Amino acid sequence: MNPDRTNIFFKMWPIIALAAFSILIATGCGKKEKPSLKAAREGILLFNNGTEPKGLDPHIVTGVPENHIISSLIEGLIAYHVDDDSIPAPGVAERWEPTENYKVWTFFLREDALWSNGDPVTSHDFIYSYKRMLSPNLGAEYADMLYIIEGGEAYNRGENTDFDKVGLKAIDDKTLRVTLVGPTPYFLSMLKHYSWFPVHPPTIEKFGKIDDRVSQWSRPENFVGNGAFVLAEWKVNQIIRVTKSPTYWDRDIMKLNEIRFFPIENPNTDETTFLAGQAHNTNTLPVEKIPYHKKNNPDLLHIEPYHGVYFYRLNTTRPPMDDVRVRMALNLSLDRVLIVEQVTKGGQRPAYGYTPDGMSGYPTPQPLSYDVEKARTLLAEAGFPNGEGFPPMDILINTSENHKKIAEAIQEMWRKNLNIPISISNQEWKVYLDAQTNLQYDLSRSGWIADFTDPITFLDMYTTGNGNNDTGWANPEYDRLINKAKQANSPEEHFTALESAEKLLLTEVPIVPIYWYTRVYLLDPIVINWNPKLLDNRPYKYIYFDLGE
Amino acid sequence: MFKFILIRFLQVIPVLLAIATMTFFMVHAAPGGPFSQERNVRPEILEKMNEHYGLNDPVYVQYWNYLVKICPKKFNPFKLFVYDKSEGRRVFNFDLKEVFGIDFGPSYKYEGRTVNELIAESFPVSMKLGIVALTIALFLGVPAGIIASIGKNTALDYVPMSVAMVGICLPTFVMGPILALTFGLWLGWVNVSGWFTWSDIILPSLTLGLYYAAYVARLTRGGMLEILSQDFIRTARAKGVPESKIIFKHSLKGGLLPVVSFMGPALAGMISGSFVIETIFQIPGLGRHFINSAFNRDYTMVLGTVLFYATFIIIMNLLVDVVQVIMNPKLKYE
Repeated sequence: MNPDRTNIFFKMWPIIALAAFSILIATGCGKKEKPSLKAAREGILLFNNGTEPKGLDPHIVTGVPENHIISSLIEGLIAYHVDDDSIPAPGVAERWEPTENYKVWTFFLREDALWSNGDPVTSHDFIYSYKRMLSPNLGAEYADMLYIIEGGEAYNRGENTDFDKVGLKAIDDKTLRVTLVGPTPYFLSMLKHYSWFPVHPPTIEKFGKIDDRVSQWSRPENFVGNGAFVLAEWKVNQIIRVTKSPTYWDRDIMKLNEIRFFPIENPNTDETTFLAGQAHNTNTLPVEKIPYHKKNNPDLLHIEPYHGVYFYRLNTTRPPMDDVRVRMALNLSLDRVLIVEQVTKGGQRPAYGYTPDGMSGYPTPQPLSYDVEKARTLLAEAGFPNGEGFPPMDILINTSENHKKIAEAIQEMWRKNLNIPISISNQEWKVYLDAQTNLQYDLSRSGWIADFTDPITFLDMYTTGNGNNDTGWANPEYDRLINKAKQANSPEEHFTALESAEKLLLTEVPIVPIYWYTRVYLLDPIVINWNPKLLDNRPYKYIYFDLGE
Repeated sequence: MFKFILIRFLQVIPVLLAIATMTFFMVHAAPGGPFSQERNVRPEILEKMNEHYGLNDPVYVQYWNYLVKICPKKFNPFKLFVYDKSEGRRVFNFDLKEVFGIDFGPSYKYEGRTVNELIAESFPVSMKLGIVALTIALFLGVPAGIIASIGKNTALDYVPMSVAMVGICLPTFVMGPILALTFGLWLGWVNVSGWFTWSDIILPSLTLGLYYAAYVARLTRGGMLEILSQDFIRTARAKGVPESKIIFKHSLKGGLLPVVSFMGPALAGMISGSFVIETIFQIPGLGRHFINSAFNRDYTMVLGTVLFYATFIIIMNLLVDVVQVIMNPKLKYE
């Protein structure tokens, strides 16, 4: 080769490479129709689920993303209502009858409820499933949800090994009687939780024993469910695909043929994937993107109440946090409106009480306020006039930019309003959980999401010695009220007892409620019946696409 | 050469043992366990779960049991390819248990799945990504470096080297989204994320490849300049050997030596360090398991991925050493 030609090649080389590359991708993948539109035409929902599920066994898993998938594959006695989480919709149970005091419930199972292999769903299947859930060796994390069944707790703790003593009875193949520990008017709302979902006994037995924690039964090739969809494909960190079940009793009203769940964790990838039309929703939205979408894409942006509370736990075993006046002063000197408007910006509501409002039949007490004068007086009474002599306190957060921003705002409010020294320390998630459980903190960032729609899911945790109390706070009167609520004979009595308990909690304030959660996400407007739900569940069988045709 | 490889191979054993030991005790010493979560588990249930996974045994017993499980017990490379009924042909199946008898145990996070299985599913993905990225890095980096070395201190040098400098300074988490926005969202040529069609490899491998191409370019330039300034090149030029021959025949072999020694760690880094790329482009590779398992306190997964990567890096370095001796007559197997 002549040297000049070599030089020309060298000079041209980047251009040649770039041209070759452009031709390659332009020919291979020209601009195409939005995949989300194409999928909609085929009745396929492209669902970003936020993370890879831990598993798909309803008795083992514990999270919301898991629930998104499992609730498409398995149906409990009670199903999700199309748009209101406080209304129990018939699932496998066609109808139900509680006794007058809500202690004994009889469920009548529909004749046409079938498993995906064609077997009928019977009351024995439910009893088998509850037995599995309560088996001590299974070690189900949510087993305590079933402690309201008479004898359930004793069986799970191994104090009684005779399952016949547990309050479950199959009157016949299609009638199930459940006897509870006490009157439980909110029982139906609990039944929507996956810990109460049935599993197919022959499938469980085929791949192990009833109480085998590790089993292959939930793999796509083995899975037998009774829900609206069947498991077709499961590739870890890539996709879970479910297709319409040919045996589901309500299949005629269904319009979706398939759902594809993507485990996209990175919020920015989540957003670009949606905007590029590869998904019908985002799982969440970064805070800094909210104003942009509010302005430019109001039809895509969804901000909905979510049944959860963001709060700080106070370690009441450490002075000066053992003084209720100090705890109240911290509560009163917090400008919650400023936090939700200037820091979190996602439409969250300032929490002047603890249980999120909007729970039907329950008037959430909201006695807290922003009253700096009163806070200063209380602090002075506690022996710290103008914050003098107040020991340095530390806010423990798990590492996250958002938690840090909130903590910094609160730090500044308390410094300005009460003149007290507050520092912030962040820890990696599991280290933080460890510190919180062992009460190795002063103030600890916390959040709590409802498992079902009854205030007891928020209030039960502050009873003495409860594993989720984590504040060291104990009050016999509070325990008595919660117990009274659990034994109440009517919804009114139940709510009255809970209200008194919550008022007591908010007088003693072992916590600082900050705001009530919202779910902020983007949704393709062609998706219909994706309704705002307090518990972030989706009624897949009602979802369809409006293609404007 | 056989002796050299054998000695190096024997050195691997204490290294891996040390890595396994340190990782095992460090991960068990970290606060919080695999089952701690925001909604506290009742102590008796936690007890059952720990018992199930043998976490109630004394740590030294757990350690010994683990070592026994991960110790290679057989070698059956034919099992790497198994007959797949649905495909109707033999497919690659990376099952460490079948091939070597290594059992990394069950994953604590993904219940019902084994670490072997998760590695078998995700490693080929990371490997594919790494190899394509490496190819891009070499195809862009080496010519750019050669051009720069020929046109030393001219625009031909400054332009590619400035671009390379930008490439080195621009982290993948900036480059990735820029490429995704440009080619995925605005031009709509490729998917912005996912691992479904063949074109899904373009953006991630480009992101990863460009970053390493920048290094390769600078290393090539340095290596070439050193060779080009040597006496035998001057002699060749004086004798009227064409410039192209000087570059390709006389200089390239020596000039690429720094690149070759960089390749081993680079490929290992591309495959193990692709966590960011895998997260940005939603790729089901091993890098994500590597990082997430540590956050999840998924003890077996942490140990499994660490040991797997360690072995991989050691093999890569060994290969590089062999290639270097072949390319550089000054070196000998010792």
